[in-house]
Amino acid sequence: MSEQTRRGFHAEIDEISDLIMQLAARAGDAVARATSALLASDLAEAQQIIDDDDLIDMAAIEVEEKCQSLLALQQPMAGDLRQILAAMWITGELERTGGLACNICKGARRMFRTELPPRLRGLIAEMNEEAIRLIRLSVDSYSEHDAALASALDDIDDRLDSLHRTFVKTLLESSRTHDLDVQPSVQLALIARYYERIGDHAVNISDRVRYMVSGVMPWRAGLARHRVGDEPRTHELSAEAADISPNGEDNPD
Amino acid sequence: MMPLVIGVLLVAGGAIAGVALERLRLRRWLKAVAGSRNPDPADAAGPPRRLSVRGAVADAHRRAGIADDARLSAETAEQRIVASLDALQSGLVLCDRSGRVVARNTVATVLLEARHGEALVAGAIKDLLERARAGERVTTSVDLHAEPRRSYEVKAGPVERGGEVLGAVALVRDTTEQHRIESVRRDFVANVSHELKTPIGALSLLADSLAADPDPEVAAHLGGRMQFEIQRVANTIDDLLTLAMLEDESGRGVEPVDVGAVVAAAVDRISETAEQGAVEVRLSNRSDAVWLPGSRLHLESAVFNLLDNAVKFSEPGGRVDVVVEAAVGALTVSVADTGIGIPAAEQSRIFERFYRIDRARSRSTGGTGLGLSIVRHVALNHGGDVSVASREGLGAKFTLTLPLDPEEQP
Repeated sequence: MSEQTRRGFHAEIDEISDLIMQLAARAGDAVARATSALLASDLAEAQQIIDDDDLIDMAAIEVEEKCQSLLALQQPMAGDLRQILAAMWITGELERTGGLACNICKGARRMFRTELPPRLRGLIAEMNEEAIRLIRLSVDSYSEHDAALASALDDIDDRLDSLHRTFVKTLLESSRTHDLDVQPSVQLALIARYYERIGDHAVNISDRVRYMVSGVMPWRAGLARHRVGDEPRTHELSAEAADISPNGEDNPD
Repeated sequence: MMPLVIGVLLVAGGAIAGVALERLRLRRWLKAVAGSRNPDPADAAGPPRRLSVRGAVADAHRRAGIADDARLSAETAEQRIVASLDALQSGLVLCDRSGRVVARNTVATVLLEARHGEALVAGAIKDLLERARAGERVTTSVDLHAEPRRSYEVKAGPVERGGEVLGAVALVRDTTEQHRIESVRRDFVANVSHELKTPIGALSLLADSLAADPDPEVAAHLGGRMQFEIQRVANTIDDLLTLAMLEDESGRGVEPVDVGAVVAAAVDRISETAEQGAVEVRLSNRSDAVWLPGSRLHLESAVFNLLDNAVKFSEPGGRVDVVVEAAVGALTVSVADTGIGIPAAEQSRIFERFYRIDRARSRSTGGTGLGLSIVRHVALNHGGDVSVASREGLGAKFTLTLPLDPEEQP
């Protein structure tokens, strides 16, 4: 590539990075907004969030198209190639995060007018904060090309997983003590799962950041273990009785 | 402070108007206007002085190396205008016809390079600048929902000369505080009318029924209900008068007060209510007798209000921990309960007059909606403050901080 083409190329990569920042901001805001709508039983706001999700989808498509045209026209290699691939994957994760915010809103709609026990409300607020923190950290690691921070995200996500478990446990207790109907109980269990998934998407983003920075594909660790016939990691087996889905592992491949 | 802010805003207004009229590049424009049309920014804050650009540069050279306090006036007119724009609380962005940003102040730089929520503000700025380059005048607001919530207003318009668009300028303002004040004002009117109208409405209905029903048994029952409603109005009026008095009395009526004894008295007063609700109240005084200047009556009513809330919002079997502690230069009284807790979004608003988290609930718990306002006023009158930490379902902890005046220690 000539010097001038390269300059143009890097300006375009910067633009993609800016667009991802916008997309991440939108997705994170949608999660916070969905939580407020859920806790306030605000149906109009819930509908607005679902409508606004189109903006997130549009922004995601814009990034993808830019990446595709760069791949086709510039045929980048090595670090440049990894950066574009990572951008495409990360865009997908952020689009899903926005989709999960919509799912929270739909859940809020289905359990409209249910008075929630205070402890469950408190836990929802906590899961929301934790999910947003994870999104922010993953975006920080992307923006600063910080592989160390990206590697830490999986462990940081443990807190959200444990909040999810506490939520399910409290939900089971509450359905006895607070007389929760089946429909709201099911919705609440699903909503808790959505927050936990948002955390997983943030971890996926951090995996892509590690790949972008170092070329290592952390998500292939499971495949490598399988090939050498290793036992799966122990925590993947320890499903607790009260836990509908402790396994936050996700296979992005 | 106010004249300075107005002055700075005037300069900003002048800057935008000037940009529209003058050269495209802010730098050149600044040089051109410094000597001619617009007042020197230094005039806004200091004594009137006018300088041409060349004069200012010469002036700067002459004064180089002199005392620090004269540094701003020693700078070039351009540097001073840049300094004024950087001191603004609003963000200012100027772009040329092709959309390239040619000037921006500090606030705008921070916003344009922001990640997370504020990246949406950057997006709005870019979007509006693009529309402004097409000749539109546009305004939009951006609300960020993650805690702490923020709101911004972005305005943009074309920079024109002789009917030709040379670029666009955008102005960003943080409107969080403005929105907060607006909602406080709006909710106050709604809440105060609710609080006063509900018992009056009930009284009117009860009086109607009383007039229509000759049965003495029913009349006695209705009379009792009326007395209850009258008591509610009377409590509200009492609390309103207390608040008015507290506002009036800031810094007056000072006597040495033993805070430990005040808290003990308040705990004693709440004990019967607590017993009825099966709530345990524990007092632990971790300080020696601490005296501070203040009003015994008001401090006791503040602590009592906190205790009253703690007991009221606890489930039977709950516990309230009252701790008096001396820290460096201050005394803290904390009241922690195991009750329903306060949603994060409401925590900054519960000290407002008549503010209710759940209006429907307010009648069953009684109270006037003024208790926490009174607590805050008492704290402020004593030079202190009150804060809350809570998680829904895990209770709330209110902490009253009162600064100690070492001279007043007996």
